[in-house]
Amino acid sequence: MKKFWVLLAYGLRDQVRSRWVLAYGLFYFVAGVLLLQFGTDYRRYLASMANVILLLSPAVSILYSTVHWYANGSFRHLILVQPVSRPVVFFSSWLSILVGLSGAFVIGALGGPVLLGSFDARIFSILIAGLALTTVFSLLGILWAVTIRDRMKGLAGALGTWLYLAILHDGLILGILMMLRDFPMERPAMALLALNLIDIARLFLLLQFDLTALMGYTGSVLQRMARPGVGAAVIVLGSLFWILIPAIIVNRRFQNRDF
Amino acid sequence: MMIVIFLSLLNLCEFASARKIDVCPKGCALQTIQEAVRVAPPRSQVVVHPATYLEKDILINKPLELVVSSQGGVIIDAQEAGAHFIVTADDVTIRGFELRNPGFASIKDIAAVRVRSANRCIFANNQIVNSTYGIYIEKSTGCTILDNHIRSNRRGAIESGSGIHVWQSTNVEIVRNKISGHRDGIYFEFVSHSRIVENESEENLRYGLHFMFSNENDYQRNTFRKNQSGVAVMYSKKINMRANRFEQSYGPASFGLLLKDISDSLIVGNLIKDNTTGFFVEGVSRTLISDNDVIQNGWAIRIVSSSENNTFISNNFLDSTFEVAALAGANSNVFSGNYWSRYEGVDLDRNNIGDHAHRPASLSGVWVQTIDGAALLLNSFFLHLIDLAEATLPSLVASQIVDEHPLMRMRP
Repeated sequence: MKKFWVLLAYGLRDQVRSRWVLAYGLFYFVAGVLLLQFGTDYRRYLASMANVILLLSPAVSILYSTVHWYANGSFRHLILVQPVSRPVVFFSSWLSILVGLSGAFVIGALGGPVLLGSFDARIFSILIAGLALTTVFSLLGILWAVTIRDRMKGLAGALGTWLYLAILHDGLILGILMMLRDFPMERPAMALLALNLIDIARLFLLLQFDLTALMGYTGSVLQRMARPGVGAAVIVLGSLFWILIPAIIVNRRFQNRDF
Repeated sequence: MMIVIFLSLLNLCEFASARKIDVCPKGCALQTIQEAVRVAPPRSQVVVHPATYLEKDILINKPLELVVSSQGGVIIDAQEAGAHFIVTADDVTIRGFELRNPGFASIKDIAAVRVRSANRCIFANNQIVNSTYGIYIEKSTGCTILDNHIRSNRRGAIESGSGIHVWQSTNVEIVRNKISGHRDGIYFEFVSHSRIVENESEENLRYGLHFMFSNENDYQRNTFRKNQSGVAVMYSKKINMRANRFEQSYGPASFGLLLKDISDSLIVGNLIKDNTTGFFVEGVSRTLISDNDVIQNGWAIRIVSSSENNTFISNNFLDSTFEVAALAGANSNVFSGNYWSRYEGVDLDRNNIGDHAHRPASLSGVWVQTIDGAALLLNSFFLHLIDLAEATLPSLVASQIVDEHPLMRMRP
């Protein structure tokens, strides 16, 4: 366990020094300040921030973790010749990436509202969604990097994963709904959406901020999610599912990998 | 001569004393309202003193004024067994009572106050509690319903009725009432030349206000909140709708203002806020919709079919998820000089009118409206991309609805 903490501490020092992580946090900070300064009301600030986070945090998390994993390959080789178990190496590396990205995100996203004195408890919903997405997508990035040796292919895989989950998945669902428009499709659509953490986070944020009266148009499934606490529980459970299964897979692959 | 004067004086005295009849459970000549109403001569005043009276089906078949002796405290409990008052004569006034539990029957409509073919009735300052129907007026002219508080907590739409139900009547005035928890807050069928002013109709199971086949009516400065739909105007002409508030009607079939088969009406200066659909327009013609504030609705307007020659002018459409969803192909409705918060054009000549036309109907709006479950994709990047594609490639645009002169700044 001591080795784990040593490795984690080293990884974190690495993250803190990283210009990319700094830039990522700075972006959220600047975006928050600009949206608050030039936006008209808090509601719109939250809506815009939610959109930025839904688009950006999965993309940055998955690409950064992939690139970082490839870049630190030689260091990991060096560690693995020492008497350190592979799960310790894997979890400490992932956790350092995760803490780096999450820290940048939380400080960046909170920085604007705190600095400008317009802090509001509703921003915690954004933090929950952003943290869930960061956790899951950083893990998916490592999954690609561990599975594929060629870093170009691995990066392409990570990018493709993001592209699919962020955009194409919804397009596919819309296509299915269009084809089966004569049937009551709300529940199947909800089930398909639940497969994608970005969609869960999007619906969670929509409901939290009551962004739209239109949500009344959808039926009982979403109404249930709109109840206090339920939405947060769904997103936490959803991300647990998305964390657990990839983590097991990555851990096993990393353990069996022949360096 | 003296005798004649004496007799007429006596007569006068008697008449004067008969003008006012007191009712109270103890110490009065008359203990029940029923009895007082029976013995009271026409055009007299029945004064009821504070107590709880367990009475029902009090038939008023002559002109009478029923009042309470002090501020409130007069409760008539029908114990779920029938109407409180049945009015069949002209010029009846009922003022200040609290009417409880008129009950429900599946073969007839039980109302706390039932008016049949009685003109110029006045109901003021009453409270009606737990009613199926609150006040039910049929075939009457010139009734006034003022400052009543009518509330029900029946849950199902089948076993509840309207707060104020008016059928085949004219010149009805409904002013400053508060109505909640009924099927329809106020219901008009075959009613004309009537006014509905400054009422609050909330949390009704169907509509806050419902017109059927009722022409030439006027409703102003009312508030409709959290009803399944705010107001439904159906099969009617010449309805004047001004300065009302339509708020918080949520649900798959919920509308702030539902218009179906109406014509020649005015919808001016209303606030329509936080509804799943602001205006639902079906089969509407020759209607002017102007100077309304339509704010934060799912769809600001849904135009379903065969609506023609309507004019939408000088409205503010703010923060709608979708501004207009139109299924109609050909479109002869005019949109002009409205403010659309989604308009992204510029105004180089600085005349407060955007240089490019605004197309408020989007493809994604139509999809969400017509494809079950598509609303779950709201705010997803895919739908944003579709909107972007639509803006870039105008040939994709879903409908012909265009505002050629969109305002750059909000109408104040």
